[in-house]
Parts: sequence; C-alpha cells; structure tokens
Amino acid sequence: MTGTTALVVATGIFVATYIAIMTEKVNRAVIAILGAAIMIFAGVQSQADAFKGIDLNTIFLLVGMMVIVAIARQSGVFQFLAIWSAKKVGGRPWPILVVLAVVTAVLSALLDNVTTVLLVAPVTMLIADALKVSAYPFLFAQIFACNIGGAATLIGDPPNILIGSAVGLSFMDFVVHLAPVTVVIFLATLLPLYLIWGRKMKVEEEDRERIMEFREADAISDRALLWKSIAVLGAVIAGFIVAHSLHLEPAIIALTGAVVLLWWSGKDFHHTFGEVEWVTIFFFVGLFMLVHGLEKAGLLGILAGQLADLTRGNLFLAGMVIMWGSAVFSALVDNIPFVAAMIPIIKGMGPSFGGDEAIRPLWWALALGACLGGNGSVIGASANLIVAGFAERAGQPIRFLPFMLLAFPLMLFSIAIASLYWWLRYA
Amino acid sequence: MKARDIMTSNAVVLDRNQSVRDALRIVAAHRLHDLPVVDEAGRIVGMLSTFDLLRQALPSYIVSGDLKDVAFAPDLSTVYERLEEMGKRPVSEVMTTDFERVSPETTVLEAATLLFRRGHRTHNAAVVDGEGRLVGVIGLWDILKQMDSLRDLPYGGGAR
Repeated sequence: MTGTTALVVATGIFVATYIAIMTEKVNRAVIAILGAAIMIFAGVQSQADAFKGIDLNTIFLLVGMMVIVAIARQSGVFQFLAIWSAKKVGGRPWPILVVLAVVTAVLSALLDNVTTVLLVAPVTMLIADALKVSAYPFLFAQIFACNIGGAATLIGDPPNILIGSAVGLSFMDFVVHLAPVTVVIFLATLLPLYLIWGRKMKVEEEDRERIMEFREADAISDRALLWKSIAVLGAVIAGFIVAHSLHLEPAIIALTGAVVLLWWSGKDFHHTFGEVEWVTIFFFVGLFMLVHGLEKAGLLGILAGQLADLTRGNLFLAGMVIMWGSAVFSALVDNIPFVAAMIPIIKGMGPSFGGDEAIRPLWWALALGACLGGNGSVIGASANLIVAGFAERAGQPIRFLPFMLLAFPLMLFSIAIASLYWWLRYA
Repeated sequence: MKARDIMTSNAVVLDRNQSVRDALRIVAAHRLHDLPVVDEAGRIVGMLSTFDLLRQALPSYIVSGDLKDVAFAPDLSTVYERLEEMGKRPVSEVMTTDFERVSPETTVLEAATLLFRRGHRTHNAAVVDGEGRLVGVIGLWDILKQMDSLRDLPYGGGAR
C-alpha cells in the first residue's frame, strides 16, 4: 500500500483508535495494540516497521522505575515522609496542606505521579480525618502538585520520558530548563488555594494535638529495606544525572537499579514483576506502533509542514501554539498519545526553523503544555483519576464540573506563567 | 448429605425495621457472626454481618486496602462516631445483600466450599426455597458439628 490510500487508511485507523481510547469503554492498552495490529493487517506498515517505532528506552525506563518503586514503597518511607512533614508544621491544617503538596511534588519529580498519589493520598485522608476537616482541599492541592512536580524532570511524567528519549535530551537538560519554572508555578498555585480554603481552615486544639500523636517512625515497616531502597534510588538518580556525559541512556540505568534492588532486597521476583503496570507499558507499545504507522504513511510530515507554514517560521508563535494547544488538549484527553504524535510533527518542523538545535525550545513548550495541562480536569491525568477514586470511596467525590471550574482556570494561569518564562528565556 | 440434613431450620431471624443496636443484642446472645434478615412474608432480604459492620465503621481508604498498615496512627474518633450512628439505623440500611444462598438440595460439600471461599465476610449461608423464603441457615458450625461428639450442640446457624 502506498501514497494516498495508505495515508487515508492509517489516519482512519488512528482516529478510530483515538476515539475508542477516549470513550474508556475498553482497556486502553487493548485498544492501542488492536489499532496497531489492524494497521499491520491493512498493510500500512510491516511488523518490522511497526516494531522499529517502539522506543525501548522509554519502555525499559518505565519498567525499571516501576520495579524500583514497587519494592521501595514496601518500606513505608513515603508514609513516613508525609507524617513527618505534617508534624514538623505543628499539625496546623494550611501548613499541612502546603507540606504535603511539597512532598507530593518532589516525589512526583523523582517517581511516577500515579505511584506518588497512591502512597500520599491515603495518608492525607487519614490526617484530614484526624483533624476533622474535609480532605478535598488537600487532595485538590496534591493533584496540582503531582502534575507540576512531574513536569520538572525527565522521569517525572510520561510526556517528558517520551520527549527526552525521542529527542535525546538529558536528565539535567530537563532540570535546567523546566525545574525553575515549575517551582514558580507551584508557589503561584498555592496563592489562590490559600484564598479559597487556606484562610478559612480552623481546627480544634485537641485535633491538632492528635496529629502530633502520629508516630512517623512506626510507618517504617522495614528499616533494612528502607536504606537499600534509598541507596538504589539515590544511585539511579545520580546515574541519570551523569548518564549523558557517559553516553548512557536512562533505561539501562533504571533497569540496573531495578535488578540490583530486586536481588539485594530478596523480594519475590514474580510478585514484584506483577506490580509493574503492564497496562501502561502495553499502551505505550501500541501507541508507538500506531504513531510510526502514521509517520510512515506521511500524515505527520504533512501536519509538520502545515504547522510550520501556519507559524511562518516564527519560533515564538510556534512555541505558543504548541504550549497552549497541548495544555487544552491534555486537559481533556490523555496526554500520552497526544505527545507521542506531536514528537514526529515537531521533529518535522526542524528544517523550516533552521535545524534541530533551533527547535529545541519547542520541546520545552510541549513538555510544559502537556504536563501542566493534565491539571485542567479530573480526567486530564491518570493521577487525577486515582485521587478522584479515593475521594469517591470516602464519600467526598471530586465531581467533574466543580473540579474543572476551579482547576481549568488555575491550569491556564500556570500555562500563562510558563508562557512568560518561555518567552523571556527562548524567544 | 444435603443442606437440608444439617441446616438449622428454626433459625433466629432479624426484622429489617428493628435498630442495629437491638439486632446486635440478638446476634451477641447467640454468639454468631451474622443473622438473616427477612421481610413480612418470610423472604430473605439480607444478612446482618458483624464483619460487614466493621467494614462500614472503618475509613474507606483502609477498607480499600490503600492504607494497609496504620501502626503509626493514633486512634481515630470517627470510627466510634460511625459505630454510634450505625447503632441507631434500621437493620435494612446496614445489612449486606452479598451473601450465599443455597437450596435445601445443595450438597454439604458445595455449601462448605461456598462458605470457605467467602472467608470472613459471612459465616452463614441462607437456605431458601423456590419462592425465596428462608427455610434454614447453614453455617460453619453446622458443618463442624458433624463431628460425632458435637451433634448435641445447641446452636449452629442460631436456633431459636
């Protein structure tokens, strides 16, 4: 199959797959793999071509980090951090909200967002119960914190992993270009939250004291495992930092850390590998094959040309279109397939702008837009859905519209700050 | 052997309109884990399960397993508040509708397997006829009583 037919067939399969993913009726990994398989059966690309599209650096980086976290979390270190910080601020509700958001943001920058909220949100709800206050403001702040923190590093959020791996950007590139603005955005986001909730938060003295009765040391269930986990996680992050200068890719560092911790901790192999989120992994595999098919059929090249024409080689305009477009898009649909498709498009814009080096700022625009955009609605990011699930079960559901009424403007506010930063630094 | 051969046929039953507090007195008096709840026509509508009451008193994030270890936490007053509040409600609002139903013709092997698979959630299965009327209860004790020397035990599924 060649030319226009391939283009139409590939686009049709991709759009249908995309819609099927958005309806969330069937598991997204199943849909993505099925779409990719249909593309091969239809003759858009061969299996060998499709497999070339699979970015194994992304896949194994994710698997490696998932294994490390699956083991490290058993030590109770994440609960320890949450409780310790809540006590440090004397059990007062607004400062607790702030420190728990800081813990969430920092952990999200170093681990994946879903794991972070999975560990911090239940402790948060326990703390809110002990304080006899609503957990909603705390959970709301944590959703924002995890998506903002995730935007700060290469490994913080899947869009960044995708971009970093495809473009060959290093861990330190992300830290240098994205971390400063995420700190500003984080602090700026707390201000409206303080005005809405913080200044009205009042608790009884006895409830405040109950927080001080928490024994954070008892949260550590396995001291030996704690130190082994910290050692391996620290070594892996140090490895990410020096990887680029040693011509190493992040995936091999994460995988090495994973097997070392697996062997050192003596944890069960079957059980630990079972904790890897295979749905996410196979979703990526399917998407990579789909996007490669689109690229091969020529659609992404055409879109790249149109986006270059539209912005007439103006870097500022291109950056703003990409950032704001990604933000609004990511708020409403999964940002992973969007970013996967955007990467070849932006790469294709390189020649019109004068080479790969010239379009580098566009990657930061894409990363900021896609990661921060996830804050715009409950369905904007997987971590949001996890938190919403907790809240739902606790009888304080995070409803779609009320959440969006506050979250969407707040997300646009963060994108405005990101735009200002981007303009000052790159345009 | 069939369920009908070993079930407790004159089982104590609860009225769905009585308060949980009053109902639990009856459950406790018979040293049972759960008792069937019936409507005016004698049809089974639910089971008051002590395990399920505990589930309802605990915070959702503990029940869901998201927070497995709470060794670091102080006692939580909301649990007592919830228990207190629960006691005032009618049985119909807190009973579980997720329990095993067997027919009088079900084999004891099958009934025992169903109860075993269920774990702690309910220790008794309701034995119902074709119209959904409760004809007996078959519980762990009804099965363990099959040991020779225990046949004379006064209660299995809670005899009146």
